[in-house]
Amino acid sequence: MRMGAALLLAFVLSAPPLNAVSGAAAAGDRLAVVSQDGGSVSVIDPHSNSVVARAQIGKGAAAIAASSDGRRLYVTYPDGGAIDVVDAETAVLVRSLPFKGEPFGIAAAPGSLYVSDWANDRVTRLDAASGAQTGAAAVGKSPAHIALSADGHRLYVADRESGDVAVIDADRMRKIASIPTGEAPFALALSPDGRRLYVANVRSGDLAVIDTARSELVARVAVGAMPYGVAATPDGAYVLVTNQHQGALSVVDAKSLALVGAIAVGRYPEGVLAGPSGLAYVANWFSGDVSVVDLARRREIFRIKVGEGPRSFALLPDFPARR
Amino acid sequence: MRSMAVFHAASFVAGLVALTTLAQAHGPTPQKIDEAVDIKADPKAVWAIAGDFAGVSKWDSELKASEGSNEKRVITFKNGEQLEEEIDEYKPDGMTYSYRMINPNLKAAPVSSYSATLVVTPGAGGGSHVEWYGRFYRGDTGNEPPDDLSDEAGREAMTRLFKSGLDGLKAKAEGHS
Repeated sequence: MRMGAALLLAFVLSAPPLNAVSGAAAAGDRLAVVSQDGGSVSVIDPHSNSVVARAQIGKGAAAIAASSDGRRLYVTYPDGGAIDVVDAETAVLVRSLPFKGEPFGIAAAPGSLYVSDWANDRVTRLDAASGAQTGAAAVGKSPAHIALSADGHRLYVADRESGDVAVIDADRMRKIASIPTGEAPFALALSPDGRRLYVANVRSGDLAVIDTARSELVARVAVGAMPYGVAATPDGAYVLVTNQHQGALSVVDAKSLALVGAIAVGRYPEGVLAGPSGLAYVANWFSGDVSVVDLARRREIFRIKVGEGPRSFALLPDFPARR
Repeated sequence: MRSMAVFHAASFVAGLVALTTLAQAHGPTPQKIDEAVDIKADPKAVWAIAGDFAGVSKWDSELKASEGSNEKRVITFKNGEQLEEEIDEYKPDGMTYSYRMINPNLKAAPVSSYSATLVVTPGAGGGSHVEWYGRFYRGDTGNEPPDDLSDEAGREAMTRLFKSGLDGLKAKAEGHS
């Protein structure tokens, strides 16, 4: 064990600080992608389309969230009952928070983490520093991904096996509504103004559109087989949906709700992140890489190799210390 | 600086210890199947055989029967157990189709769900390259699966099915069977 610690110490000391790698000119938002089979988190600099840091953690990591200051990454292990805390700058594992159950979906708020428990049909709130549970709410069956409103008061949970979205009062940790969406809702995303919630139904192959003020389903848009990831563009104009079977990113016009395009990406695309400057990033689970997509030109412009089995993204906001 | 590094290293070790136990749990992680074969026959000729979605048992020796259409098929394994599979996308122009299992039957295959794609592309010297790949979840998605419903058992069964299919397809298209 002492030997191991010495080796690890050497590893840590030799890891270059992130800002030294990227340079001052490349300051800005970054994105992190978690690879389940490779057991790693890759931090991507969108300016250079390259991986600038990689944390080798454990196999089986599924979902990821970033702290609002962009300094910490939180990664769930459904099969291991743990949440890893990774320093986003040094890509070093800071600690592992134990979790009773199968943690899957995760969202971060200042000081708190919200985590869905796939096996126990509930969503819990944890203290982000200690991992201590500070609240829990019963939801539907097999809760998958979750989304937190920008004001932090509402939490939306995709209940995959009960075919609905649970709306949670995040302050009191109580379910206040349950909205049927379709078959097997898995991933979900809020519009930038928070007025719409977009939910990808894996088995019915469509996108459910929910009016968040009224907690009502307003439309279901057919998008293609096995939609596994969803994101809204920062300007709110488009909704992006990954389709595992077509190996494509579907583009839905947020106003007309018409399917306006399908962009070929890698095999079995899952997570999607709509970045700044009209680019989108797609985690190709099967291909083990990330597609960079130019939304205006409707085509893939670049591939970035990451660890095996990439599944989901987190956006790391810029922070002054990085410049 | 040094004390910081020591702190990181110490927590890193603690994390690693926790993760070592995780790695042994073999959790409900989607698994990959990825098989391919090169065939000395024109892609159109290969697609004429492989594109008959319901005719898969004519070239996959792991199956003793198959019936249906280019939308849905029922496949019967050597032990008589059946699975129903449904097309998500059938594209003759691209010589490819994608499909998925409808309901699990662990006696037919030790997997709780899967989807797959078969694609025929032009290969070297006028021949064909056929890929058959997919994604599955093991038979028991709980945290302590028995050996016969583990990730490994699922991978073994799915790989056998795809490999024997591609071998059979090659033999048939090259006129060996």
